[in-house]
This record gives sequence, C-alpha cells and structure tokens, in this order.
Amino acid sequence: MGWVSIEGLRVAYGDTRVLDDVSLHIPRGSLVAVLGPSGCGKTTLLRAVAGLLPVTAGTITVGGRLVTGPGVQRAPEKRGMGWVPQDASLFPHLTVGENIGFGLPRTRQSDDLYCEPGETSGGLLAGLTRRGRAARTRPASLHSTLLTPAPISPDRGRQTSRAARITELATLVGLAELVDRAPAQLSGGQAQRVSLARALAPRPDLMLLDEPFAALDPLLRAALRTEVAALLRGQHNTSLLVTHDQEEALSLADFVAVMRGGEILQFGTPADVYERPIDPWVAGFVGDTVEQGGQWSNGRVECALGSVAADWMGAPAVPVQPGPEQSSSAPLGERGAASTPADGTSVRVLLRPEWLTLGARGSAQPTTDAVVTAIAYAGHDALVSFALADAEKTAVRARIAAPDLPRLGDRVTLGICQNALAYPLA
Amino acid sequence: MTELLLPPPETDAPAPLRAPARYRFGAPPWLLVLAALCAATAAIPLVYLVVRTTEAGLTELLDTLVRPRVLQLTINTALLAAAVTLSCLVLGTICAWILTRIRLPFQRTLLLVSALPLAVPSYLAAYGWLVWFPHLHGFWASWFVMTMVCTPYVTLPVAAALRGASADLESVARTLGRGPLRAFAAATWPQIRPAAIAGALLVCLYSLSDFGLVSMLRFQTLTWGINAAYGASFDRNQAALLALVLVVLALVVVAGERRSRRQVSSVPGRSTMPARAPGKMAPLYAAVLLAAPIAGVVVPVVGLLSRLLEAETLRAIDVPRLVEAIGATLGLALTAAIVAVLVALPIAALAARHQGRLVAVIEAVGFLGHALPGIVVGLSLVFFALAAVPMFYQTSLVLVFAYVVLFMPRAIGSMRSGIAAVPASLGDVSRMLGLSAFQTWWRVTARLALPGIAIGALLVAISAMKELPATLLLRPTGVSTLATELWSRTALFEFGAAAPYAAALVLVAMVPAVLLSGIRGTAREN
Repeated sequence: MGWVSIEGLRVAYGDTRVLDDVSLHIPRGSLVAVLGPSGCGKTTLLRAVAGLLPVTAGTITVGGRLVTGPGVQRAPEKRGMGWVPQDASLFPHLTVGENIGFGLPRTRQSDDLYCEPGETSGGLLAGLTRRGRAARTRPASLHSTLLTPAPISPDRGRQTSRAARITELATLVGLAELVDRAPAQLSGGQAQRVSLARALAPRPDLMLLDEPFAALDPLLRAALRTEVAALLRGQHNTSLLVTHDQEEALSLADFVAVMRGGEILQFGTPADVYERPIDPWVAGFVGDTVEQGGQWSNGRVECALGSVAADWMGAPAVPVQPGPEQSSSAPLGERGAASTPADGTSVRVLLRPEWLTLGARGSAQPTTDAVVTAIAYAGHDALVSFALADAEKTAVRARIAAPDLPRLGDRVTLGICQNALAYPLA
Repeated sequence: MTELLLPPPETDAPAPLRAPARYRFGAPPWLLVLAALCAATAAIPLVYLVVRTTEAGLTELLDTLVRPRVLQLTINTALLAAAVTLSCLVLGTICAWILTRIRLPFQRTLLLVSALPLAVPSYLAAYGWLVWFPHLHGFWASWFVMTMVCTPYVTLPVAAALRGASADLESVARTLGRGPLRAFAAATWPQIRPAAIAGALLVCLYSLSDFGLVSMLRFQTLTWGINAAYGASFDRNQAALLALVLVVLALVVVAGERRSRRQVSSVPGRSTMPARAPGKMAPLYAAVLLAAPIAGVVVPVVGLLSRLLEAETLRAIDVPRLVEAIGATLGLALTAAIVAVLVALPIAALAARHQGRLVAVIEAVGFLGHALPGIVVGLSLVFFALAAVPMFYQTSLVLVFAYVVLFMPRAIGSMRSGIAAVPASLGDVSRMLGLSAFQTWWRVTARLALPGIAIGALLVAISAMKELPATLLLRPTGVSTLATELWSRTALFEFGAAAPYAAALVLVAMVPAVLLSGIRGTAREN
C-alpha cells in the first residue's frame, strides 16, 4: 500500500473511455513519472487525482485519506495537493512573492502567525498550512506522522510567518531577489520555478506536475528538471509527474508508469522499464530498439546474431523478487506468470543499440562478424549501422561511444553485453 | 474609441498549442440554470410581440399584411437596408484596403478618424445635415447619410482582418500569373470575407432598425410606420404587426449572415503585405478615406456648432431643462449598464468556459437584442408592461429593462472574451492552492477579466445614452433624455433649440468613450 493509492480508476466522457481501470501506488517520498504518448490519458489521470475532473469509478486515497471514491469527490481545494501546470500559469496580477504566498492563509495582521487557539507547538507550523488544517480532521494516530514531514528549514520549531515562508520558498528556488517582480518580467525557467515554489508553499501531501518542462527550450529543460527533481527529493515530497519525454521520465523518476490508451502497461523502476519492457511497444516507446526474428530455444533465441541468451517478455532469466511496492502493481505481478514458449516457437527479438558492442567484452553471448554500412555521428556517440555476415545481410544498429568509432566499410566483430528480449510474434 | 460600437469580432480562437484533446465536462447545472434565466429575459419582448400579434387574430393579421401601405413600408425598408449595406460594403472595404496597404502619413490618426462616425448617432448626423439643407428628404438623402454613418462598421473589422491576413497567398497568386486585382480576389478576399460580412450584417441591422434618421429625413420605413401607427391613431394592432414584419426582416438577415459566414481556415503564414507608397494617388486615397468622417461627423458637427453659437440660441438655452436631461440620460445609462452587466455575467461566464448545444442556445438568446430594433423592443415592452406589470408601465424600470435587452449582447461579447482570455489553468492552480470556486472567481477570474467587464458596461452605457425610439416609447411621463429632446425639437424644425441638446449628447457620450480608451490602454500595458 503506497502513500497514494489509486485503485480501479475509470474516467469516461460519454462513450469514450479515457482512463480504463487504472491502478497506481506511489510510495511515500518518491517521484513517480507517468510516461505516455499524447492522448494516452496521462493528463486526465493527473487531473482526476487533483479533483479537477469527476471520475466514473475507482478510488484515490492520499495518506490514508479517501479523496475520491464512491460518493466521495473532495473539492480540489480540500485535497492538499500541489499543482504545477505546463505553462507555469502564474497569476499575472500578482508579484512573484504574492504568487508564492497565494495558497498560504491570509490573516488580519498580514505577517502575523496563523495559529488557532489550543494548538500545540508541534501544530504551530502545521496551522500555517492547509495541510495542517486538513490534518486536524484526521484520526489522531495519523496526526503525528503527518505533522512531521521532512525538515524544511533548520528553524522548524520557530514560529514561521507568511512572509517568512514566502522568502524561504523564494530562496529555495533561487529567486529571492525577484519576489517583487511581475510574472511578465520572468524568463520561462524562472516562471516555472515560481510555479513550483507556489505549489510547495502550503506543504502539499502530494505534488502533481503536468509536463512542467515541456514548454521550455531543450537546454534549459535539462538543467531545470535535474534541479527540480533534486529539490523535490530534498523536500521529501511525494510527487506525480506526467510527461511524454522518456528521457525525462527515466532520468528523474524513482518509478515510471508507462501509459497507453488509458491503461498503465508497466510500472517499475526506470531500469525495469528500459531494460525489461513488458512488450515491444513499451520497449520502443522508452528507447531505441533493434528488432529481429528468431526461434525460442530454452532461454535462448536463435537469430542472425547467433544463439543469444534472452528474457521472455521482460521477465529476467533469473527471477528476482520484486520489491514490496512493485508486487502490488498489477502489470508487474502478472509478469512471472507469463510462461515461456515451447522450443522452436518463432519470436520477436529486441535489443537496445547500446547492448551491441565492438568485440566480445567478456560477455557470455556469441559474437558475429559485421560490416559498417552507415554512421550517424552524434558527438558523444554514434549510431552505427552494420550488415551482418549472414546470407540475408541482416541490418542492425549499435550505439558506439565516440572514441572507438569504426569507419565506413570496416569489418568488425559484434558482441552483445545483455540478455536480449524475446516477445511473441504480434 | 476605434472599436467603440463594434462587438468584438467573433473569431473562433485557434485551439491552444498544447490541447491534446482536452475533454470538457458539462457546465455546472446551477450556472446553466442561472444563465438560461438571464437569457430568457432577453426573449421577453420578442415572445410577447408574437403573442400579442397572434391574439389579434390570424385573418386580420393577413388582411393587414397585404395592405398596400404595409407593403410599401416593407419595400422601402428593405430597399434602404440593401442599398446602404451594399454601399457600405464597397466603401468600407476600399477604405480598409487603403488603411492597411498604403503608407499614408498619420496612419494611426487616420484609423481613429475613420472610426469617428460610429460615435455619432444617426439622428444627430441627419440633424446636422438638415441644419445645412433643411429641404433634404427622401430615399437618396437617407441612403447617403446612413452610408456615411455606417461605413466604419465595415472598415474596422475588414482593416483588422487585412492586417492579420497572410500575404503569402497573394504573393503566390502573383507569381502564378494573376494580376494584382485578381490575386487579391483569389487569395486575400476569402480571408477577409467573414469580417466583411459580419460588418455588413451590422450595417444592415442598423439601417433596418434605424428610426431617428429616416424620420428626420422623412423617408417612410417600417420603424417610421410603427411609430406613426402607435402614436397617431393608437392603432396598436397595426403597430404590433409592423413590428413583427420588421423583426422577421432582421432575423432573415441574421440567418443569412450565419449561412454565408463559412468559416475560413486561417492561413498560418506570417508575412503581411508591405504597405505601398501612395505616389500621385495620395489625394484620391485621402479623399476616399475621409469621405465618411467628413460627411458623417464634420458636416453635422459644424452645422451643430454654427447653430449653437448663434446669439439667439445661446440666449434661449433652457439651462435647468438641459441639466435635467443630462441627469436623466446619465442616470438611465448608468443603471442600464450595471443591470446589463449583472444579467450578462452568467451568460458570458458560461459561454467563455463551456461548449455544447445548450450553451450555444443560451448565448444566442442572449444575443437576440442584437437583431431586435429598438422601436420593436420599446413597443413590445409597452404591451408587456400594460398587460403583465401595469404598475411598472411608464416607469424607468421598464425603460432600463429595454436598454438591457437591447444592449446586453455588447456586454456579453466583451465580457465573454475578457473571461475567456483568463487561462483556465489559473483557475485550476487557484483551486489546488486551497481557494473555493467562488474565491477563485473573485480573486482570479473576475479580477483579471475586469477590463473586459468594464468595457462591456461602458459599451452598454454609450448605447443607452444614444438610444432614441425605445426611449421615446417607454420614458416615464415628464422624463426626457438628451436624445428625446433633440428629436422632438428637430421634428418641429427648431434646429436652433435642438443644438444645445445635440452638443450635450456628443459631450456626455464622450465620457465613457474616453474611459474606454483608457481601459484599453492599461489592459494592453498589462
């Protein structure tokens, strides 16, 4: 059971099913990326969790609190979630500081402590936040755990005022000098940071990020997303990020949920999803693939590259015990059950281009002779096309790190450094 | 002041770039109900007019309809509307072309100047011409003055469309061997056609429903006939029937425009046609461009001033009466503006954020006043007040209600675009930060849409100040506005006595106009 659990979530508009029986469990403090092509329903999933649209069926609980369920549809403002939209969406009529403070309760004496009578000192900080207010309505047992989130600042016990919280957040995102600016004066990256600070200010139970970097230019995007991921981790925030950018999902997230057509196909760590994709579509969506036909033969496939050790449908050859979170994820749970095919069955064989190496590299996999037919140079590495020495001159591509690049027409020996992936024919 | 009287062009906003089919859920039921109720008020005059007319009996109705008198009025009205629309379409398109494609000096000023006739009510223009030529009357006089007053309705939207039109297509057409005119017709005209037709619709509705100008220039159209039938003989069945004929004409025009609008897919090209130097043709261009402002504004206003400054006039000014009329005008206009904004708000909020057939119907009903001539609304509300709420008959309440029905479309249009311009994502963010739907509306949406809301209110105020026929029919006994005073004096050919009221009307109507340009300015800065 995760901090956030989504069970059997279904969203339909008229006859169109946008989300079909989606279940997802997010461990506390982790960053989960929902990765999928546009139109797969990932933004709908995020909006449903946020309470910004009604769901047809299913439940959503956050920290044991039911926010969506049969007959329950908590208003978005009562969910205690942070929301970072794609285009930052800063309030244009407010300064940066006012934007950050938008979700903090306003009091008569604007800079005074917000505190309700009878609150203990532990609750002082919590009283400042919506989360604290929500927490007071929860059972006492949950209370204590909820009120001790990660230390936000060293002076946590001290009375924190609204203004101080704004300064704290502005400093956190590195924009302390800009609090009096108008949003129109900010660059895209700065605006997105303010948006993040604004969402973090009320100390949400769950951060929801809707492609927050998609509108930025590529250079800035890479820098900012690393920074943001570090920041979210530093705050021990539980976050749900939606993206169509596989690189973003793999590099930032603790867990990736791959979505397609309103369903979650696979949930796992970035390495799981990339190295052991559950089907060829996932394999192709999260990265480049080299595909061939072959015959299954007792844990190996016979193909143009020789007799290659292979995993069946993403299940590793040596079954590993899935982690506690993963075991509850439906797609992963089924993976062990997929029985390997009979020997001699025709299968699809998939490899990642970087799994093909020049020379054997000490792996147990067979090696093949090949001729370089094309090189797509990309600086740090190159995508090299080879024709194998078999009768059909099968073409394969390999990603070769830059200094060792062969030249066009070179004869080389290709090795394989990983188990190949085998799937049933479509 | 440029866009004063034009409802914002109804552009189908291009879908925002991200939009991977963002699904829309239905509007909240309470908002639907509220908006439907508000829109329903706009339907009262039309519905009641139909009820009233059918009560008179179908046979009598048909008898009256084929009377040569009615036929003559209908033909006159249709002829005038068609002639004015056609001439405005041609002149307005040419003016727009000159404004955007020729590099004339003082371009911004020229644009402002060419919009000026909109600020002059038609009856004021007619009055100004009568001051110079007291014997002016009939079809051609009406056609001429009305064309001059209405041309900006075409010029402004077409100029805006031309500025936004991609020049790439025209360049391509030229390189493929078309001459300048044929290239314009083939490539650019389709892009500006919706704007031109929308402008022509406004002109057509304006000339169908105009009462003051045709009455002063003694050309007998339906509006004139309605007023005559109502005022002289108290033959109210006849008045109601004529009103119904007029409404049918107006609705036919609106339906025709809808049909011929044909959405043109926008051409993504960036480049705009470079403006050409005018060369030797400069005086000709200037003459065409300035024809409407001179004939529609300068001639009447100079005539007005010449009368105003005569010693006899100045001596005869009835100051208390003038002040009273100014007060009544301002009070009524302001009240109408506030009420119209309140009634239009739910409709605008609904239309800005939601789609669907029901929403479209509600919005269309709210826009009904757009097609209803002022005299028709006035007449229908006379009947309605007498029959349904006699205690309100001849009170300001009914008059304000008439203004609201007539001018609510202006408020809806500007408020809807104001609200739609506030990104929905801001509302999402605000909700997620703990504000309720109403707090969000107040602190974010309404706050950001404020310029649009204020513009809507001012547009209503300006229109209400200038409205003549509905005011004539519905004003409480003893209350006169600047417009009615001006009209009644001109009707008696007391041009001198009318001058102070005309001048006051021009000045008073300028106040919201100045405010309006101020709001537009700050809105742009933000």
